Amino acid sequence: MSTRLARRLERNGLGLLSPPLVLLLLVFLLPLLAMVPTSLHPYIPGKGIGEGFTAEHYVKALTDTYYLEIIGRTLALGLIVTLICLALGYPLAFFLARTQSRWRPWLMLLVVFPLLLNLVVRTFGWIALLANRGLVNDTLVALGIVETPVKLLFNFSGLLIALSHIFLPFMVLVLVGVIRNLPRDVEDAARTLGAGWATTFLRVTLPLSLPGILAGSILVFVLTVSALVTPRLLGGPTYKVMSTLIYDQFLQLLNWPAGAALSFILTAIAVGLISLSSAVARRLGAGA
Amino acid sequence: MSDLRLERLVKRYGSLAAVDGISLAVDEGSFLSLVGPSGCGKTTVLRMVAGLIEPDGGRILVGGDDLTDVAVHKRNLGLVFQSYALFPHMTVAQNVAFGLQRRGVPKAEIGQLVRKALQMVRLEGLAERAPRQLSGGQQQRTALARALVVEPRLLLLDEPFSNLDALLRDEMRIEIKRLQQEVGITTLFVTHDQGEALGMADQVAVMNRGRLEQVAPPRTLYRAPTSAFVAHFIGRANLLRGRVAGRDGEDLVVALASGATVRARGAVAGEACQVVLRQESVRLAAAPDAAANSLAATVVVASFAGATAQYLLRLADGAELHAQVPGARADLAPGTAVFAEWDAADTTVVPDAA
Amino acid sequence: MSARAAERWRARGLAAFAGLILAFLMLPVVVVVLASFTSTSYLTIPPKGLTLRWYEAVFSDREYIDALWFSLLLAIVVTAVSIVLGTMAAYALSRRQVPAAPAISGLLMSPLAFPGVVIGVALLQYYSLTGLRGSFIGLLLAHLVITLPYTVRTILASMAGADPEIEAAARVLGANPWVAFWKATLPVIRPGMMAGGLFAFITSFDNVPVTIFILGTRHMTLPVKIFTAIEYGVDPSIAALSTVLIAGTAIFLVLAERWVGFHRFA
Repeated sequence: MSTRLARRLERNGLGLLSPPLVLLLLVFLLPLLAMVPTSLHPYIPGKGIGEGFTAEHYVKALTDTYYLEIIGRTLALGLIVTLICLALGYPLAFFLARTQSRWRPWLMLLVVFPLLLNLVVRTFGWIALLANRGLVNDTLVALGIVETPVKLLFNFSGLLIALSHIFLPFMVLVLVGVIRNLPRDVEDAARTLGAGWATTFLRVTLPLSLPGILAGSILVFVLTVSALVTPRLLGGPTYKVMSTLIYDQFLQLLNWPAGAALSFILTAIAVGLISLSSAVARRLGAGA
Repeated sequence: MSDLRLERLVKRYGSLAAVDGISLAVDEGSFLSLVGPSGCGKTTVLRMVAGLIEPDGGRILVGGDDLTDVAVHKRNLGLVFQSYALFPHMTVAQNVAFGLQRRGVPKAEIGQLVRKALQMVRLEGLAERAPRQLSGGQQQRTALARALVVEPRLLLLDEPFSNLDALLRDEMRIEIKRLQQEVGITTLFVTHDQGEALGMADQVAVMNRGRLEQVAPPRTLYRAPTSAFVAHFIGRANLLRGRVAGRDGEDLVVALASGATVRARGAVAGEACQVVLRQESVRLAAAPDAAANSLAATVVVASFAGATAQYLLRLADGAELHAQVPGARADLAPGTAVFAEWDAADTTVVPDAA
Repeated sequence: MSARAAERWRARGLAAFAGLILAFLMLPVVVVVLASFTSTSYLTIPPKGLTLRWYEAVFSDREYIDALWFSLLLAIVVTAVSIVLGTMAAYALSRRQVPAAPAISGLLMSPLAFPGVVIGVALLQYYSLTGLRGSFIGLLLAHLVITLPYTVRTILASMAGADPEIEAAARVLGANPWVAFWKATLPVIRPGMMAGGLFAFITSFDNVPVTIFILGTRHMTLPVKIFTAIEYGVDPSIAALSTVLIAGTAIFLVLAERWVGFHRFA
């Protein structure tokens, strides 16, 4: 019997799959599930987690103006960073996908390099650039564009610039993959049918790269709203987004129930968007 | 070298029996083709013999040894895969040496055996090439050398020609047959191509829906199929449906649906039957011949192919009849009224399966 | 202007714009490298003066050196185990009839979809309950969860490109299952394993959002150490340390490109 069971596990692959699956069960699913009751317990300041169950943390997160402002700011950041990455990333991706240059592999590595570089280091670079006495302000003052340094740290615009830089490579890599696989003869066909380059781009190339635009945008949006390191270092302890709020709830305020509830709201946004987009992508794929 | 015997071999996938109780014997040193349409279970049979699929019932005996529960790597069989399955990261010589290394053959001997095997398949100069640098035919020769060098008890060939173009296919067919005779190895050859099956084998086993339809030498199979399926699958014979109306000396008198009667040879149980008529047995004539079977027909399609010409005819009752005649005498245009005739000795009857 | 000339100008315009964006991508990197050589005690660009004293400061700081070695050790162990687990999962998913295969591969990929901070806080609570907080094994397990999607994905891709029959061929030729995998399949999927391993290494070596919650007091990783240092205030020694990491990453990337053609997997 046991050898038959062993054979069956061998044949259906579950024998091989069980170590990774057990790992995910014990160190991923179970910890997440264990946070569900935490998010439903009351929190008593000074005492910690109380008895009984309550939905107050969810209600508060979705009604209290302090929380709503942070959630709104996080989503706005995600949206605008996505748009910036799209605007900067599409032309670069188009160039990298189409160029015949023998430098192409090295140019691709220039895109990959920031991705591999430690995130804390990249963020530190932006601190050096955006500080009151940083390169950006020194240049602006030197050029006479502004008289006194512009405040770029601990506010929205600083986060916007740095996060756009940090997530741009993801957008570019996704788009390069999609644009490289576009059938060139369809564009040629449009040109022979009398379409100018602008019409060809808007009516043929762009619609065909829509799946990539969608995938890249979702990726950048989710990464932005989930980001912790950059918002924390550039926003400081006071200018908060959702993940830094969760960070503070757990490590500074020790209000685990509120932090857990916020975690599930953030997760719902991220995972919800990803599942939604894969459903849309499937429909796009089926329609094509 | 050993004989192969399969006893009531069964493989089920869910409720479907892919192989439904196959019993088959391949004599020592002989070549058996297992042929059938795709999905008939022939590859499943071969993979069960190799040990790559576990049977749900029955036994596999090689040289009298029961291999049913023996692990793949202990069976000592040679298998040439449809994709050749050469190791892409090894040279030709390393591919051929692989099985010898597994058997612990001393290094010096391996080099010698590999050289001999490559000589046998005429790849002497290509020993250090990578598989992707070889043509399809060379890849197949490598696969053959790799399978044969270990002196396996059986050679199993799984659709080995399907990735070759027509010209190479003919060449490799002769090559494999030559090797098989030289080595004298018992061979099980799986194919969906009836031409390949007939051309190479001592015995042909026709499989359909998990069962064997008929096992016979190629000529017998062609001349005396025992079922409508075999008659049609091997050589696309015409099948005329009718009822046995009587007997006249050696001949059976068969009444067709149109009311016409034809004479045929053979015997069936019961009345419903089909007359098997090979395309090349049909002659076309301008006037009916009382001595032979003769049916009025109209030419629908004429297709000239050099040595032969192919006609699609329509009989009076609407049934279609294919005829293959020598090309030199083929000049009938579509619409021409003709008489299709043939000798009773060139036909056989099979039970009406429908 | 002729159509051809217009085409040429468009191409030049695009190339120039692409060059600007690439420069933007490299800007913080260049800034950090420059700032590390300043002789002032505050960050300034362009650097005033030229000194290596910040490098000296970093290399003589035991805490930084210990954190660097610990991060490397952790990343190496994580990479090795992640490759083994990833290969097991990818092998099963591509070579076996796995029941509910889409659900299982979805589960294996799901740590990618979850915000790092959420995984971090969930493990903070879970490890506090189970006593794993601050332990090496706890860090190892957490990093395996977040690196597994990368190793599974790249190895799965190279499995898909390999003929599954070659392993059967090795079996028929007399190799037992283990030897057949080792001699026939493994060499073919090695590039995928290397690429997955590189991703796993970087993911582990760089991670802050998960690590910072479960680190405890016994251990310190380099990125968390820098992160905390920046929270206390920036000085040029962080720029020097960052420059060391930049150089290390660049060498890593060039080597990776040589070995496996890294840009194809990115």
